Amino acid sequence: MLENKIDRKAWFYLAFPLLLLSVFTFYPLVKTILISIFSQYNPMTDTFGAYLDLAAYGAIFNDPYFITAIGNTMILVFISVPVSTGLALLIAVALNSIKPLQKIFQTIFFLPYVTNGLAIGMVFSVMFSHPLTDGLMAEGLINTLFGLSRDWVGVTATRSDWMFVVLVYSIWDGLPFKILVFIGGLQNISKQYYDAAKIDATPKRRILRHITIPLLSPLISYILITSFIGAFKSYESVLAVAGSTGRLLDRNRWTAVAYVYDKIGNVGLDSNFVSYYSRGAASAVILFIIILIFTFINLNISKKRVHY
Amino acid sequence: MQKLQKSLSIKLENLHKDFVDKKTGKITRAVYDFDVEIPSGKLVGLLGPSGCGKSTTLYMIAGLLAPTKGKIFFGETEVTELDAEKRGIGLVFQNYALYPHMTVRKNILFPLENMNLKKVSIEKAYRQAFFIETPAEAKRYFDYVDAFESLQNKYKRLDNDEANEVNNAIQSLKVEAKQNKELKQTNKEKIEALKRQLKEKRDVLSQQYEKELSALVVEDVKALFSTMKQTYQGKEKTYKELLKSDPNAISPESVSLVLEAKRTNYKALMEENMLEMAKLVGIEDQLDKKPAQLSGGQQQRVAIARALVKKPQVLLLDEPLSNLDARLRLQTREEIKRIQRETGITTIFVTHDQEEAMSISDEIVLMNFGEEQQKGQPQEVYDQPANLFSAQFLGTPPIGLYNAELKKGQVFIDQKLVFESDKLAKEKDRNVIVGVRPEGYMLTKDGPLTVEAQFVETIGRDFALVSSHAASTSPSFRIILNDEVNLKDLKGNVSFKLKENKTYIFDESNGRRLA
Repeated sequence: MLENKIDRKAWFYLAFPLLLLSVFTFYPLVKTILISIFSQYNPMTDTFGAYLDLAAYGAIFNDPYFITAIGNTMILVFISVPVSTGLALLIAVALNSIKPLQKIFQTIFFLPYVTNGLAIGMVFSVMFSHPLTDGLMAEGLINTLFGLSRDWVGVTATRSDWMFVVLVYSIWDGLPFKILVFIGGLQNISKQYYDAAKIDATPKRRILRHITIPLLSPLISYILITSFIGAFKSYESVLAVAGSTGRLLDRNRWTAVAYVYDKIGNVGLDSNFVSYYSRGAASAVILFIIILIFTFINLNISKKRVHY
Repeated sequence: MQKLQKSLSIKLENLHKDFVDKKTGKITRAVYDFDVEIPSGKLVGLLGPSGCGKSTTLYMIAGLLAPTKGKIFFGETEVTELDAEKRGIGLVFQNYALYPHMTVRKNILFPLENMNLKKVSIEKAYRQAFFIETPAEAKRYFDYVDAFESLQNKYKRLDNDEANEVNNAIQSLKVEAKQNKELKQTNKEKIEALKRQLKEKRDVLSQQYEKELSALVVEDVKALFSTMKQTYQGKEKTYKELLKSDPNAISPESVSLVLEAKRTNYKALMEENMLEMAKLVGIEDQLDKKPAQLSGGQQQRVAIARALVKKPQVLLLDEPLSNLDARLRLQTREEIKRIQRETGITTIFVTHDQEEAMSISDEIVLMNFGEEQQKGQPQEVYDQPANLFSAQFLGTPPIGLYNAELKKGQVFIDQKLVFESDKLAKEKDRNVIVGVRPEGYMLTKDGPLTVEAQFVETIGRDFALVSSHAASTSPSFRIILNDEVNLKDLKGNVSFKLKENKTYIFDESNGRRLA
């Protein structure tokens, strides 16, 4: 029987990636979970300690900085992803409908993708800079342009201000890849549908809403799912844009991943005798679960809405 | 089923279409000087080999391609410059182009939803109501509105014509300059001059436009409109008040028109139209499926329903049967014929399959190299081919062709006289081509044409004798004989006489028919 055939060759090909996956993905995953439930894990000696409890989870949920970090992450996820996806779609449709200079614009929009994200972030933080003592340094480009004297990303910046800059950065940074994917998708849509729509006297807006977007929906769903996952794991963007000197991040600006980084950098136990390392592992597990649940929801929605 | 809106005749006046390759400047002639009139309510097949320009012609009629030169008329109106969506046509694409993400129901409804039926109907009702209540004002007002619109269209078209002409001239000058470096400077100057001329012409045009517009302007358009509106609203108000005291009050005609238009459930109306079309093409039980769940034939029907649901005046079909298997093809072509008969809509369909075209068309137009070869009823074209191409293209099995000699009005194959006609008397002696339809042979013991029999094919009722002849232009050809013939006679060399009405003589050099 064909279905039951043991294909040795296939297994052989799969063996190597499986081995790599077990060493670098499955083993760390299991170990992280284990560390998170042994609340006195010692990273120096790699011993789990005697306490198998959920104290690490209790500790992080009682930690206001963790709650803030999750909140920051959620804002980033739920604003930057939909906005950048929507913008990318509009830009792709616009780019696809012009003939002259299309290639040049495509290149311009793709440039950020081949540029180092941290470098762009630093350019952003310079653009939005503000001297703490008046007159010591010039105001950043944005403040100069709009005649403002606002601290966007510095030490005294309010949450909404630095978050705004981080959002602008993330949206802008996310655009090029999405535009590229959407343009590829648009060029795959048969011209006949548009001819048919023309014969049927379809207004432009209806063409976009009833023909282009549904036919592009598999790609839109793919882009949404991958960017949501990416945004849940964001750290670099905040660090690059709103980090202080020496690229350290103020605790109030942590994302979930930043929280994990901070905790696994600490050795020893906190005042409640919970290992910092266990707390880091626990927050990593929480993030993992959130992403998992959210991706399931996402997939379920796209099953109903996406036309294949 | 009642007939749809009155259908229109279609007239093409020396239509040209050239495709220009932008990189090389090479011009491909797709359609050349095409002149055809298609009577209203007829099913016409546009027939020709691949690449003969028939689809290009269809897309020009549809408005998806703009002709390089020439005019297209629907009825009395010229539509050459009209956008595809304003031409009121239905088009069925070769691979149907059904929207894959919509159900059959949605697919058929889509054109209707685009129309904004509600707005259009209410506007129409108001117009009628105004004409009833305030005829004089309404006439002046709407005459002005219509005249204004047609004036605008006219000048838009004139402007376009000028621009097109100049652009074409510029394009050819540029190509010329590319090929011949010496002309570069002079052509550049010529182009500049052309552009200046265009600008001047446009200025003149816009002045004329202003002039005609000012002649047209009604000084009190707004006042006219408000008079009409107030008169009507007054009527409506009185009626409504009357209704309060007397529930059986009869409404004035104008008011009932408008109220009726506002009251109509357009969603239900659209649904009704959709169902009517689905029933016409026989897919009313498939409405909630997606196109991918349907067979090719069903998809074809959905495409036809979608094209017809707006009640167009012209239906265009691009190779409607080419994606179907042989059996379905037979069935679908009858179906198309039936739908066309029932709706009485002027229909043009494009095909490369001569059998298909012959079997369902009221008329066929035979095309090759972008030019019309022959036009007429299928049987007529088959019986009286105008040239060698027509004779070769129509008929299965194909016509048998022989190299022959014309001497004093007599035609000889292999020195034997096979055909003579008075028509040939005045022709010069030269080499000609003789075409004989497969059914044009009579088995005769000492007939003038002796062929070498290869084998016999039995095709049901008839036999086809596959044979060869030294003077034939093809290695083998078929002769159709009925079952009264003794099979034993069809071996070795077989002699035939040629039926005069099935034998045609063509000029060897240009393929023109001589007799």
